[in-house]
Amino acid sequence: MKRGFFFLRDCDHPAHQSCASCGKAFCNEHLRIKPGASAPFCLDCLGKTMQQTNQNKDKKVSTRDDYYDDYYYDTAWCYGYRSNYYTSGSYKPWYFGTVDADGSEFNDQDIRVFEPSAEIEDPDAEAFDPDANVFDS
Amino acid sequence: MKFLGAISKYQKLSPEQRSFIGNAQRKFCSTPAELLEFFKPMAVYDKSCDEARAQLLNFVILCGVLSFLGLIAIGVLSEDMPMVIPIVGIIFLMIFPALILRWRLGRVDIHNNLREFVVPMVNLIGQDTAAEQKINLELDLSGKKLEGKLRTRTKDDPGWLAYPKTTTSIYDDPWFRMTTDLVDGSKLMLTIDDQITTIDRTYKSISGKIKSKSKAKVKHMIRASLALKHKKYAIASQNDLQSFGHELKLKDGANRQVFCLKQTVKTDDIDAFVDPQLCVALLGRIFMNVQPAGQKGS
Repeated sequence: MKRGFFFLRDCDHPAHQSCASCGKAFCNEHLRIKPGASAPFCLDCLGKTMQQTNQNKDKKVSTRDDYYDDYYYDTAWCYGYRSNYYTSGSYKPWYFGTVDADGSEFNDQDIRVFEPSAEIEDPDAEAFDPDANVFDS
Repeated sequence: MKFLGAISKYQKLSPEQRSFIGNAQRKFCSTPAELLEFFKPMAVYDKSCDEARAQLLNFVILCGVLSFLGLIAIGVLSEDMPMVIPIVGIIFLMIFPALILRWRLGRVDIHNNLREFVVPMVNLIGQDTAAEQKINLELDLSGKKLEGKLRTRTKDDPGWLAYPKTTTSIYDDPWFRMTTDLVDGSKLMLTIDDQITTIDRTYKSISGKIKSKSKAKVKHMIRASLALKHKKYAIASQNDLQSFGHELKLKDGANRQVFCLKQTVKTDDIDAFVDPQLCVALLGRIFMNVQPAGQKGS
C-alpha cells in the first residue's frame, strides 16, 4: 500500500491480512471491515467503492448514512478521494521510492519519481515566516 | 425523531468539545490523528444536529398546516364530533416545544465548514505529514456577522419618512489558517479569509407599503503557500510558471522558494461551506509545476 496524497511512499508496516477485493496483503492500518462483509478490504478498494457509491447517490449531505459518516471522517475517505483526484488527470503524485512494475497499483505513467539525489537533508533551511507572506508585499 | 440522536451525540461529547462548539474559536498544535480524534465526534454530531433541525422544521410546518385544516374541520364537524377540538388543540400546542427544541439545537450548532472543510483538509494534509508532525491550526467558526468582525458600515438615509434607506456592512472573517511541514520538507500554509457584504434596504413599494430586503454576499479568499527547499526542488522563475498567470506570487529566500496561489470564490449563501477541492487544486497546481532539484541540475 502506498500512503500519502501529494507524495506517495511505501507503507513500512508488516502485512497481516489480504484484501477481500484485490487479494493483496496489507497491514492492519490499511484494512477496514466493510459493512455487510466479514472480510477486510484495503483502503484503496474501500475508498474507490465508497466514492462510487456516493457518486451514485444524490450529493446532498443528508443522504449520507451513519456508515458513510464514519467513512467520510476516516482515513479511508482520503484513499477514495485521491483515486478520483488522480484519475481526473489534474495531478500525478510524487513518489519517494522505486517503482515496482509488477506489484504496484501505480505505474510510471501515474506517478513522478523523486530522484534520490534530490532528497538531501537540509537542516539549515530557513523557517517559513508567515508574516512574510508574499501577498502582503 | 432525529433530535434524540442529536441530543445523545451531544451528550457523548467531552467538555472540551462542547466548549469548542460553544465559542468555536481555538488555536491547535496537534498531530493530524489528534485533530481528527477531536473533530470527528463533533462533525458527526453537527450533521445529526442539522438533520434534526430540518426534521423539526418540517414537523412545525406539518403541525401548522394540520392546525389550519383542523380549524376548518372544527367549524364543520364540531357539533357532530366534539373530539376534533382537543385533537386540533394538541396538534397546535405541539408546535411550541418543537420550535423551542429547534432553537436550543441551533444554539449548540457549529458552522458546516467544520465537517465539510476542516475535517477533510486535516485528513488529506495529514496523509503527507510525518505521523508525529504537528499541525498548527487556527479556527474561528464563531460567526461571520459579529460586531467584532465589522470592518465598515455605511448608511444611506435620505431622512425621516424618505426612502429607500440602505445600510451596507462589510465584515472580515479570517476563519481558517493552517501551517505544517510536509514529508518532503516543504512548509505549507493555507488560509481562508471570508469577506461578507450585507445590504439592508428599506423601501416603499408601488402600493405604498414599507418593505425591507436583506442581501448577503460572501467572498472566500483562499490562499495556498508552499515554501519549497532549494535542495529538493529546482528554482523556478516567473517565465517557467507563466501558466499560473497573475495568481502566482513567488518569493525567493536563501534556502527556500515560496509559492503562493490564491483563488477567490463568491457565493450568496452565508452558510455555504468551502469545498476542500479548491485548496487541493491550488496545492496540486504548485506541485505539478515544480521539478526536483536533481532533474533540473540545480
